[in-house]
Amino acid sequence: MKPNRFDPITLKILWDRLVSIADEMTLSLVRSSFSITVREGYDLSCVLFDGNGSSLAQGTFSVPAFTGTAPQTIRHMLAKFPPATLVPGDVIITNDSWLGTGHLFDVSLLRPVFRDRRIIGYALSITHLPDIGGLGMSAVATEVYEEGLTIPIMKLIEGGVLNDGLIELIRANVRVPDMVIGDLMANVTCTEVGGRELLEFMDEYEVPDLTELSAAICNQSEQAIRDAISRIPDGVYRNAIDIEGIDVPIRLEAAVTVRGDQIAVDFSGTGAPVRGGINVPLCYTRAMSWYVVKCLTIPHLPNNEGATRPISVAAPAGCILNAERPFPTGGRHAVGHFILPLLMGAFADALPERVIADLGMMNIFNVHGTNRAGAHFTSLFFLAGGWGAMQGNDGAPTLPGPSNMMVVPAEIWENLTNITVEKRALLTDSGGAGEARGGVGQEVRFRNDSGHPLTLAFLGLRTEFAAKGFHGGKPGRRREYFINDLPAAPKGRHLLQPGDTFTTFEAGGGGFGDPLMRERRLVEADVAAGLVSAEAARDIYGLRPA
Amino acid sequence: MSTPPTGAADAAADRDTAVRIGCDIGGTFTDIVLQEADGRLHIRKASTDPHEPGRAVVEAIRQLLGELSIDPAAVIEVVHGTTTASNAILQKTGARTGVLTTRGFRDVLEIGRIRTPTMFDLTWQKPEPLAARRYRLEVGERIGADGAIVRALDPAEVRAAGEFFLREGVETVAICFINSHANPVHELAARRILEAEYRPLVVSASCEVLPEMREYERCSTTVVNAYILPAMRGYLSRLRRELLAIGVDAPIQVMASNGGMMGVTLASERPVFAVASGPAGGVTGAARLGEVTGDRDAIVFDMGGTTAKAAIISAGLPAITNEYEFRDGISAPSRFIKGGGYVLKVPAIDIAEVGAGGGSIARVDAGGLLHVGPESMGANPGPACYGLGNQRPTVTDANMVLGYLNPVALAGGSLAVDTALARQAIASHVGTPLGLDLYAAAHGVRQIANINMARAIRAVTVERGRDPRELTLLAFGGGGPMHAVDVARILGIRRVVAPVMAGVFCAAGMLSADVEHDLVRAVLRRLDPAAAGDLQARFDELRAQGLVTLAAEGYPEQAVRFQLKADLRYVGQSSELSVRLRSERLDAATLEALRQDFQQAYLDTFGYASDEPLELVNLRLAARGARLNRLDFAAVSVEQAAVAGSEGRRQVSFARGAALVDTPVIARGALGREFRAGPLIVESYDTTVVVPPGTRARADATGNLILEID
Repeated sequence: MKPNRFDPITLKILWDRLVSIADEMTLSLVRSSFSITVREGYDLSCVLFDGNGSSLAQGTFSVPAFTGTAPQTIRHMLAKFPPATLVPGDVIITNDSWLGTGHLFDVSLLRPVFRDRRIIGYALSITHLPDIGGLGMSAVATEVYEEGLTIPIMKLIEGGVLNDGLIELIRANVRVPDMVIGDLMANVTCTEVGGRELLEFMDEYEVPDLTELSAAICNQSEQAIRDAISRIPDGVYRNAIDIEGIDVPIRLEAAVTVRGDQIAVDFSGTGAPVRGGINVPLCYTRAMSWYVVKCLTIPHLPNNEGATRPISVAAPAGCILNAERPFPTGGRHAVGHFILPLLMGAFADALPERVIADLGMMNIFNVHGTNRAGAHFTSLFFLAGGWGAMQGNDGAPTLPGPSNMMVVPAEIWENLTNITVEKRALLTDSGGAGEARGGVGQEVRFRNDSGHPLTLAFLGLRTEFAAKGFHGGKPGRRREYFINDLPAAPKGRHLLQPGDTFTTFEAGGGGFGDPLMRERRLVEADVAAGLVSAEAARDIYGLRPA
Repeated sequence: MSTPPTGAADAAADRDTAVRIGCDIGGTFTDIVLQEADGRLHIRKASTDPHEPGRAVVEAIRQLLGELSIDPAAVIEVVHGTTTASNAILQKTGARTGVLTTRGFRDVLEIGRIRTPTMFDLTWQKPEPLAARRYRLEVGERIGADGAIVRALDPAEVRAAGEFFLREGVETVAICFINSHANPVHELAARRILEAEYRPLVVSASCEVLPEMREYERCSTTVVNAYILPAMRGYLSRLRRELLAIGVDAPIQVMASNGGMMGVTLASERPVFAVASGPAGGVTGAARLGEVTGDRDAIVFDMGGTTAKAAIISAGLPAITNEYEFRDGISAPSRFIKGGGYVLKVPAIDIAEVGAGGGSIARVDAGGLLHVGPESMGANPGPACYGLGNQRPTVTDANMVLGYLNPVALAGGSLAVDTALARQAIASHVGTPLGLDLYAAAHGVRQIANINMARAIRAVTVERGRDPRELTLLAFGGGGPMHAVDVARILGIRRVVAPVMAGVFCAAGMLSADVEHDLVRAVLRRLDPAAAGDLQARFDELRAQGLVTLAAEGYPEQAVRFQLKADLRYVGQSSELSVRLRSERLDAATLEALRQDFQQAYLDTFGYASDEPLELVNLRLAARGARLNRLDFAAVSVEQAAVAGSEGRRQVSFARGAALVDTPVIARGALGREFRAGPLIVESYDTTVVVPPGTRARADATGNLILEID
């Protein structure tokens, strides 16, 4: 590593400013977007890169997976369009599952930022589009071709001129063209905001070139993460878990080798891809692995390329964590998100003070239909199970991890779709018992009051395998789906008639430590709040009348 | 700090009898400003008693009136910036609060909107709901998204809830029914039942507190209102009683978060509108001051002991936001980091706040990076140089090391300090770990604080499409004028104004406020010429409501001014921009102008605009009652004692690596109308103004300091 030309004070100032520029991009993106998925759900990320394509800073509000795929996406884009061929006003686009974020629904847009006719950086944004044609986001496709339109790496804008042909092609392939194109343009705008502010930043601080600053920032993060890894005893940490598949369970396996200041994650032993849209491209597997290692080592430092350098990720070709074309990947998070509990479990004994017990996991369903006014809609709805418990820290109720979506307000949702939200309530006894309790899940119940049939696709996780507790903690409640109060296939695509209802019981998080060790006042408070029943308090926590 | 510069000797001279008093309760000091009819001002600082904040106010007023020989009956108004509401939330000392909601929605408050503001930190917890789950009850009723009654309200269930609340000792209830913004009839019916039959429950209905869409935001705002309501009501009635006991029988006005004043009655019903009461007075005052100094477009920069705040004034008016988040810690400059606090969707001056104040602590983290704040030492034990037991370095210690601050005593000589303690704190906690010499370390601390404060300013300027370089920096608060020039330089600002009495400016600013009420009607319809009749009818309703409210507070129609705004967006979007209407006649021409103004505002904010159709979401009316005798910054005068200070020379380090500069120190009152070139330190009772090399300063006719940067 080169010696650091920037003193700690200057570095901190410049670094913070870069993060605030990425925040500003995000704000612009949300405010000018047209889809509920972005503007209320925040399924998005914004990242700044230096002139060499190394990631420098990301928005404070980001999706963990995206901030790991973005640095991979830019490499593919610059391989196809070498920097020397780019001109001011270019915007590159792709949604390719293997080059972007792992599924077709996310679009990645990249804008080179020029200063004195030279590229000094790049601004990249990612959002989940409201639709990309095909079957819609679901697990029922058998090949990626059924999942919608693939946009290879192309120029959406070339030298400031919009590629009308591409726009027309996209419009012709999606269910809600105005909303999709509106969201694409929101991405275009936010990269412009990022580029403009990056230039102002360079003028203001008289930074002629970001390369040196980028190296200093990334080296600082790299050093910090290497120091943290060094403090983990050398060894091979293993774990294997079973998770829900399409027909039969899928085995995920990991061996994590810590040697000195490096970590190697190897997913050998993991099961094969399946004929259903839950396969995971390697870009996503890498991103989730980086995310978990950062959570375990340097959770409080801003993220950038440096924090990934000491981590290698390998998954054998032909396993579900390195699925290849044409396996469908629409719901790749339904497998890929389990990398977090898989790796946390591997470190459960070695790093008890840092791991988190299994999460109830986030949950997504996708609808398309027609509202009472006759307007077509297609949208995601984000739900969440309970957070896992940590040593000395109860799991929070209903947090959408390991991702970062927002809850869509019932009043916004009903207004757009006329699907009534009948109930949204925390679930008693759903959090895994423990000295620290797992977070509770929730019951959410909907009724199709749109007056039209409705297509609904579930991507359910934790329906067979509950969130496990750590160190004697108990598992959380499993996730369940009902249509008209009858059990429904958790990864199915369903047609609902007017008046039909559907309900999800969101999974609870796992507990941490022996429930008998939980402080009495905490058990009593949980009972008073209705989060734990009196029976469970007595039978599981051993609460005796005072 | 009990020796106030009252100037009692000349105060007994002839005067009109009417007297107004502004009081600002800060975390450390309570500031009182007394305004005589001829514009003469008197100031007093007293220690804040966090347990009985009203007591210091009343006692300070009593003493001040006594020393000035003013009859308490001459006081015609007391304007008050109160921290009662914000402290009740911060310290979790609000009342036992219940929620009554639609069946199925008991947990809206706890589910919230977001995962976590800290993506990699898995330990994050949601803010603890202000209404415990046990006290959140559901009743049978349902309004549809279109306002239709889907299921009628069951009064028996409301009564059962009322009985439960009383039995459980619940004092205050928030009613939050789904879709009540579209039809308030059920909320109003439930409120009538609870208020009439279940005394002494006090009730806040969400349709009255915040008639807008999004159940979490509306519920959160209403619950905060309910939670702080008993405390605010009790505080205001106690204050009124104690003021009466010393002979002050004058109406009390409370500063609202939007910079206007609200009467005691309204403040007791909607305290959520006064959560940011304190800082609002300063911004309002700054807007008035700007009118006098010719700075109608300005940045307000208020640096206190714990935080620094920034706001923007455009064309003489403070920028207003319709949503903010109140959190336990300190607001970050990016309004994007949401999730840590209680969402309040009420009009408030758009203030960005950072944890950088005189008492902010400097520390070096494990990765070797220097941080300043947000932890603060406050006033007790305070900075290391106070010698009250704290040994960690603060921003004030850095200022002391560099020579900006008086090395013997602060606050007009009343607070003794020890420079050696400041040096030791900076050297051992910053200099040694970073391998920097004493001055470099002190400059580092100051520079990080300045940059943090500049970020707050950037959040309200650059991030809003405003270029700070075109604006004046109005700097006040105890530390503002000491950091103003350096902060201005970071942002390319060339002109700085440090108002007279900068150290107690918030209290003075309150005396310059008008009464203002913000009213809102949800509309949700396409913006087209056909909308004119409907919109005119709704505006007329709002106008009538504003006139009635202000009439009740003593403002006749001719003293009332209206400002009408529309929240607009492109059809399909869900974030609105507020755009001012050019006329109160809502005809086709006005609506067309509105459309064009929106396009321009959108272009300014997002860098592009389109010809897509627009949707009008809300109409907002600000109804302002003009105070005839409000404080006029063109006609104030301050007694000599307030601008006195020591004179001499000090060795000052103005830049890292540069030699110490032998710098003249003068009293504020000694600076004349002609520009004097820096380096110069200007001292007074309430603050220190730093005029670095490359800067010049002069006083204007009323004693404001004008600084120009080369």
